[in-house]
Amino acid sequence: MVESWRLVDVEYREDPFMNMSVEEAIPRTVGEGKAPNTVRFWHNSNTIVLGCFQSAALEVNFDACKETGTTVVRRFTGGGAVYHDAGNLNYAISLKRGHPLVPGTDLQSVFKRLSEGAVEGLRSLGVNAGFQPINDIEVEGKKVSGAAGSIRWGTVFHHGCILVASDLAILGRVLSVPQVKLTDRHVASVQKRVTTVRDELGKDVTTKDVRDGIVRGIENSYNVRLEEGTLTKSELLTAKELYDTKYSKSTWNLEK
Amino acid sequence: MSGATSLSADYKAPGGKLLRVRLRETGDRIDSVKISGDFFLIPEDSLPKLEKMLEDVPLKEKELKLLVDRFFRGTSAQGLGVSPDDFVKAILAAKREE
Repeated sequence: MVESWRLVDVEYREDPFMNMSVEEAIPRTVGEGKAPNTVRFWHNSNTIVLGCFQSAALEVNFDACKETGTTVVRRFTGGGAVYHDAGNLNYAISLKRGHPLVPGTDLQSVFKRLSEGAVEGLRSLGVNAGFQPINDIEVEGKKVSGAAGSIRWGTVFHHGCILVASDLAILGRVLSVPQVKLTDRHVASVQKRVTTVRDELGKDVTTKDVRDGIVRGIENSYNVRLEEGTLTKSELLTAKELYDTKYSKSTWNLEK
Repeated sequence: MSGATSLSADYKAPGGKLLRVRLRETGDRIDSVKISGDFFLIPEDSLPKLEKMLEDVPLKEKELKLLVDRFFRGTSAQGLGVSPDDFVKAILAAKREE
C-alpha cells in the first residue's frame, strides 16, 4: 500500500513572521505524533530569511530593505540568507524521525534525499536541475534553489526555496554577500551565480506550475501519495504561541 | 575593560560555508566571542554553548583545538559545511588579522 503524506498550502504572504511560525509548528507537531508526515508549500512577499546562525547586521543591507519594503525574519534552521518574493516558491518536508527514507542522523544525507523530489519536479518541467552538495539545487553551475533543515523535536525536517520568477535585482541589493563568498566562485555578484526557473525555460512559468511539478516529483521519488489537508488545532495553537514569543520579536529576528 | 581588543575575521571553510568571528580579547585570552555564518550545526542551540565555553580560553591553536574537540565530543553536535578545525581556524584568523 502506498504511504500517504499530508499536503498543506498554508501561507501568510503578507506576514512572514506567521509563515515562519507555521514552519516551526508543523515539525514540532509531527514529532509529537499529533500530525502526519507533511509537505507544505508557501510564499512570502518581499522578505529576507536569515539562517539561524547569521548576523543580521553583517548580512542585511537595511537601507535597501527600507527602500524596497523588504522584511527581515530569521528561521530556526542553519544555512545562508535567502530572499523571498511572490516569485519564490517555498516547500517544507516534515517526516517523523526514523522514517525509512531518512533513517540516519547525517544531515548531508537528509538534504540529498529530501531534495530529490524537488529535483525531479524541476526536471519534469524541463529544467536540467541537479542536487549540488552541501544544500543547493543547481542548473549548469547556477543556483536555482537552496535548502536547509534539521533533525529536531522528533522530526527530520527539510525546507527549500525555489527561484521561479524572483526579482534578482532586489535580491542583489538587500543581501550583503561578503566578498570572500563570491571570489572563490569567480563570479562578481550574487545575480550571476543564481538563476530562475523562468530564465532556464525561457518562458513564463508560475509558482503553481512548479508546485504541481514538485508534488509529482515527491510522489514519484518517494513512492508516496500527497493528500491535501489542513493544519490541526494543535499546530495552529503552537504557531500562534511561536508568533507571540519568537517570530514577531526583533530579539529573535535581528539580534544575533 | 582596559586593554581589551576587538578582533574579527571572515573565514571560508573548504566546503564554501562562512564562519564570521567577532571577539574581544585581553592579554591573548578570549573575553567573549560571537560566531555567525551560513553553516549548519545541530542541535542549533549548541552554538551559544560553544561560545560560552570559549570564554577565557587562550588565543592559541593547541588550547582552542582541545576546547573545540571537547565541545564536539561532549555535546554530540554535528556540523555540516564546517568541521571542528574550521572553528579553530576561524578564531585564529581573527587573531592574525589584528
